[in-house]
Amino acid sequence: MVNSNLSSVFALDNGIVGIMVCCGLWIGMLSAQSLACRRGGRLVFRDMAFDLHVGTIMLVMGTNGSGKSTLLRTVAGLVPVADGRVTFNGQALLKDKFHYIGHLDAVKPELTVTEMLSFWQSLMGAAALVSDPFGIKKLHDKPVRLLSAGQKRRLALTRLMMRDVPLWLLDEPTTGLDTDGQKILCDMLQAHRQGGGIALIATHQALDIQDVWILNMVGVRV
Amino acid sequence: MRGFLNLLRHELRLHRRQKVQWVALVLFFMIVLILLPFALGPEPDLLRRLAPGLVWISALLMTLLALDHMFIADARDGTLDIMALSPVPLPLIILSKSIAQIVMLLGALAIIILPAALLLGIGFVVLPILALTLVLGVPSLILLGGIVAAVTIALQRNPAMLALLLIPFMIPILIFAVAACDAAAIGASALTPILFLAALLAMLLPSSVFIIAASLKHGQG
Repeated sequence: MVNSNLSSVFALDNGIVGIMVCCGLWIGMLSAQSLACRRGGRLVFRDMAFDLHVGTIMLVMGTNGSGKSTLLRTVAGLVPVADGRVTFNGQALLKDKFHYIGHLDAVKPELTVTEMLSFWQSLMGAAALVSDPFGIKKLHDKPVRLLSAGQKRRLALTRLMMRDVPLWLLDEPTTGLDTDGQKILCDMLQAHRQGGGIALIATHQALDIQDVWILNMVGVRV
Repeated sequence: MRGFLNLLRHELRLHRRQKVQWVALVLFFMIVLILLPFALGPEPDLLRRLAPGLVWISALLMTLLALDHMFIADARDGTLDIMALSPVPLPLIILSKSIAQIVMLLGALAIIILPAALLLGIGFVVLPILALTLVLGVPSLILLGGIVAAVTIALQRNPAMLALLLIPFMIPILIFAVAACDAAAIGASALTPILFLAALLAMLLPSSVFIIAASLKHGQG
């Protein structure tokens, strides 16, 4: 699904990734070094550091207000970095290298599902959906205002399928999703990982995926 | 270019779907104009003299009320994040939103300007000048409104502050527009104030999209 030619060439598993990293073949690494972020003058987190290699899924967990969303927004460049830096393959993370799905669905109630998708496509410069795992296309002429919360979430998550990108930043992706939807999301993440992708997910809910890294945010105590 | 046209089409479609809001805006404009003669007294001469100013104040209030479409709604529902992260340059997205807003407001004004002129007894000498000042002035109001809306989003302040911040910047546009209509009413040349309005628009049109983009980019969080 994600970068299918890449996955067929490298057929990644952990061993091969290790070898490639050792050889200095950084085909995809998200790295944060001594990252700090302030909002409204208040320190949200500091000294954050991680290296995510190809095929890594990291869940960002923690209590409400511990800075999970802020971390994702900082990585996406939506929040200015107070200190440190985020790099992808040693360079600044560019807009065309990642998808960010925030906790808001960013849908317009007045439009139909198809119109919403075509708006996102023109914003993202995408030609068509790569695939439609959530079956959103069958709702094509339904106005978004008539969708349930879960269906809106499915619609928002379908943005992940608009372009092949190596990094997914997901903020509470499972909110409102039924068990079926959660399973589809986990399958998408699994396929993304097998294709050499990286995902950073802020969540309260443990996802049904094996071998994930967990980053526990504790917040800054003053 | 095709991407830009798609975005513009999307914005216009979004406006068209929000019919109730636009009907409410047009009704608001008409209600102000219908009520004012009752407040000022039914003297035709007085009304005729005040008419351009009254139309302009109504148009100004209408523009203010419509500013929710400029980024505030997008900030609320998360669309602004997608816009900021889009490979399409942000000023281009802002331009498409601004043009859609200008087209919609001028379209609404085009529908109601004739009934308004009949209601207030605006002569056929003043009417074209009034229309011209609206065509030149309303886009400037929208672009200024866009800048202030972007700043209120960036500062994470209540959009109600918007009107307060915007009023001082609206005054020059109001003065030049009414001056042009007054000059036309007494048969003098309205060229100078109209050129001032055109100059303001010429200055705002290229600069405002970059100012809006910069404040949206730096203020999110």
